[in-house]
Amino acid sequence: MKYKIVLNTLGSLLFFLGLSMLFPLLYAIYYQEPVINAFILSMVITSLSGFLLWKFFPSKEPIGHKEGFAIAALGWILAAGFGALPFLFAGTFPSFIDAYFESMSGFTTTGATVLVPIEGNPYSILFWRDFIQWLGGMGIIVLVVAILPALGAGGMQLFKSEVPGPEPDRLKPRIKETAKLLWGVYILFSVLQVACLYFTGMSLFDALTHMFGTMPTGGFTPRNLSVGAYDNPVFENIIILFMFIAGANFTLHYKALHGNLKSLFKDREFLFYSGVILFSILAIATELRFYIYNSIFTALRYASFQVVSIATTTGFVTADYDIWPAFSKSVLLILMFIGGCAGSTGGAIKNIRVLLLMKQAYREFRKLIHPQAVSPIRLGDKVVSEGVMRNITGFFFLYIFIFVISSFIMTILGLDIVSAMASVAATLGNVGPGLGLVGPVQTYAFIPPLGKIVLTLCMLLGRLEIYTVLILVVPEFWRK
Amino acid sequence: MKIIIIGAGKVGCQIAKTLSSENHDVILIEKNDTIRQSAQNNLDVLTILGNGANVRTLEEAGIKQTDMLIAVTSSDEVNMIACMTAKQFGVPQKIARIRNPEYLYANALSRDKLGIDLTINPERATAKEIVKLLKSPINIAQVQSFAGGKVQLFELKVEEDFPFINQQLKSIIFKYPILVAAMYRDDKIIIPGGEEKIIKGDNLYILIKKDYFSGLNEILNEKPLNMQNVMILGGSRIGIQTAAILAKLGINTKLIERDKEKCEKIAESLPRTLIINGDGTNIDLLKSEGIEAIDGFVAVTGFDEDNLLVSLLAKHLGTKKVIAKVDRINYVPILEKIGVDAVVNPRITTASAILRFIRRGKIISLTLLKEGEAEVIELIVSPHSKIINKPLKKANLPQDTIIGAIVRKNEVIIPHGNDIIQPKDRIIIFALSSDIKKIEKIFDGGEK
Repeated sequence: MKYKIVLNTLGSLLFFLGLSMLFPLLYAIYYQEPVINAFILSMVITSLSGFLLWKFFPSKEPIGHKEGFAIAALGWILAAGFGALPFLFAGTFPSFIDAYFESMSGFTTTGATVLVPIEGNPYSILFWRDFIQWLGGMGIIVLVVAILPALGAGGMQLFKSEVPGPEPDRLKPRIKETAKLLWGVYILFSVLQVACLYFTGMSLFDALTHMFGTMPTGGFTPRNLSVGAYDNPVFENIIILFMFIAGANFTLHYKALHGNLKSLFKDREFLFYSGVILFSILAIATELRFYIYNSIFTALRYASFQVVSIATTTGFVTADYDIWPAFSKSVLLILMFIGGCAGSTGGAIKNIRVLLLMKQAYREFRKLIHPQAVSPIRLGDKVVSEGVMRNITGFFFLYIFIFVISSFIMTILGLDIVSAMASVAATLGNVGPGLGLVGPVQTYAFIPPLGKIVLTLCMLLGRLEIYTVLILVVPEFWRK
Repeated sequence: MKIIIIGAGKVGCQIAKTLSSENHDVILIEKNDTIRQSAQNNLDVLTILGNGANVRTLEEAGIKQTDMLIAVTSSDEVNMIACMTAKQFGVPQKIARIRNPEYLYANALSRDKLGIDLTINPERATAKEIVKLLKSPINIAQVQSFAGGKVQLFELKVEEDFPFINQQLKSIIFKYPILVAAMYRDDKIIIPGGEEKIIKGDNLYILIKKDYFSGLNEILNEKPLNMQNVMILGGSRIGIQTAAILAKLGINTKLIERDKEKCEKIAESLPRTLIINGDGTNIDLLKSEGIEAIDGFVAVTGFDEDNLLVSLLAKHLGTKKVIAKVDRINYVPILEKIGVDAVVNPRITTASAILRFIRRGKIISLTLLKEGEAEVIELIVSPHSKIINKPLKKANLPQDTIIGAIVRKNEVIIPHGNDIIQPKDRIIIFALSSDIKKIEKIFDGGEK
């Protein structure tokens, strides 16, 4: 492990994070809020620590795969820490654990909140709380790769350790260009969404903060009742559309924007993702029509918003789905595990992994009938290598294993079974709201400190797809 | 520039690495997935799995918008077909590595028809390099010509008996004007300042006017090496071509090869060379063939280990100059440390040749030092460059860059801080590979 280059890169990351606090600071100045000092102080501390790290650990060593993992994992842990500073200095939360939970929930685009009530807090604090989701959505490490000059092959190591999915696609031969393009597409959609919301009647602040919740599939909003507060179908449909976009692969969006719409409809994962969402909407709407709502349109309206919100791991709420019938709730719970697509801003296991695992299971069946058959797993017309399959099986096991262990811990801390499992599924999948005590109209504020720490860790594990974080606790990783 | 490289072998990766560090978009096509993955992990390039002569694969790599195709797979035929395909797609520049000389002599397959702009034969280039090394008057590890031969660059190992050991560069007075332009110490290239001391174990890169080259031995108080008898180990392509050139120069050459049939073939094509059939790693054979009395020993078998061991043995038995061919680039630094006088590496030779071709125009000549970490380039200064008519010390060159020589008409200047560059000067620059783009910008004055 080359510590110098790790610390050096972490330094530049923190420096840029500090600079980004300028945006909420402008809001604080504009509204003349008393939290101006909190932002100035956080900004100075973050940027200065970043600058000092960068200055005192100069290094031009190449970033290997080990360093890539270390930078990504430590980078996220540090970013959440420094990102919590404004909340601490402004006194938004009673304890550091709460501030860190909220910050991590933002960066990992989970959207699980411990802030009650949300409304009434300074605008700048609410802005920052939503803005960090937007930073974390496309990835702070990918941002660093796009900004920092000349990382060379090391950029790929960093890119790999953050971008979700089994094997990240490259749009351009140079990884820096790929990172720039991904951020470019992300910014383009973000601007589009703000424009859509603003011109259909939302205030600029609300349009911005809701975009910050949508594009990274985050789920924080500045309203106590989430998107439900507006009770406006137009807003809901705009948000559904952009949540759906954010949950799909951004390299596909890039290709589609370049006129290659076919690639979108040829992509197996995108078709599977759309299929799962469509099926879930119809299934839930049908049940809701019979048990809750009188009109099929009302049923469809709430079902589609909630399904897209949960499946893309956003976590916006327009209806208290905790009072929906059991089948609907169980479909939503399963969606929390499937999540978005590879290369999207969505979380959880990802459609491509689920799809490939299903194909593998089917192959095992066929092997029973034709023991000698050689049947590679195909995705479209491409064969998926056994190495990737092994990685996926391992990932799936670890995901479920962490889910089980964390659920046990939550029940020990006094949560009922449904709430415990839902809280872990919702944080590990970066969804946000779960069921029961952590349901759509509840918060995570009541959970004891130890539980908050466990869930914070789950969010990080979910966002960096487990391996990147877990590898830090393997002693062999640190040995020279 | 968008460049497709076919074949992620040693040469392919070396070129890809250099080009991508200069901000070119590189796409690497490789048919072996294991090799492709290792390239993907080590290089900032896009890799594609597939056969580089396959039209589909080339289309996937975006051949229509490509500016250059470099085919360096192990198969001459694949390289040729890839270039022919690229010609159909209108790729402006095509480079192929072709090892088998039989293809190059046939006029029916002329370059125009195949669409190959540059063919590289690593073995022949390496053979030429070996002969150059053998002919130098002192024991040097590398030699290169610049400015049409007016300036020579050579690499010299500092031994205990080096006359200027432990002296600061600025205090050394050489008999002729020469410049220590770079040093290789502890596996790093240093571009030295005047305070730098020469210590034992350094490798010095020295520039000298051609006229003084043959008198190099006087500078170092040594007798000139006189090559009369050379022994070559290994009847590989490099060995045969080296023997052929040496024979033309009238140097007595013995070539040892293990394979009987191969020996007979070589004997047919090399009438003036003595071909010995036997195991060249056998000391008794070497002794009976008079290894103790020869001046130069060249080990060019297909095995790095054999080349290494036998050349050490030859050095031990008193051969004045020992040259070994090594394919694995990582061995080079170790080899020179333990006593082999010079190491040739076909991979670096090939990569240098290709890079020289790519940069032709502005840059006339180029040499990679060590593992491609640093480069020596020769270029003509544009009249629009900001650097002209300013003393060098105010030129704002990147750190670790040194101007080794200025060639003005027929005059060679080894410059100091107060020298001034004029338009149309040829200059020779030592620089780290990562700074090359910046330097090009400084000297071409933004000209396209």
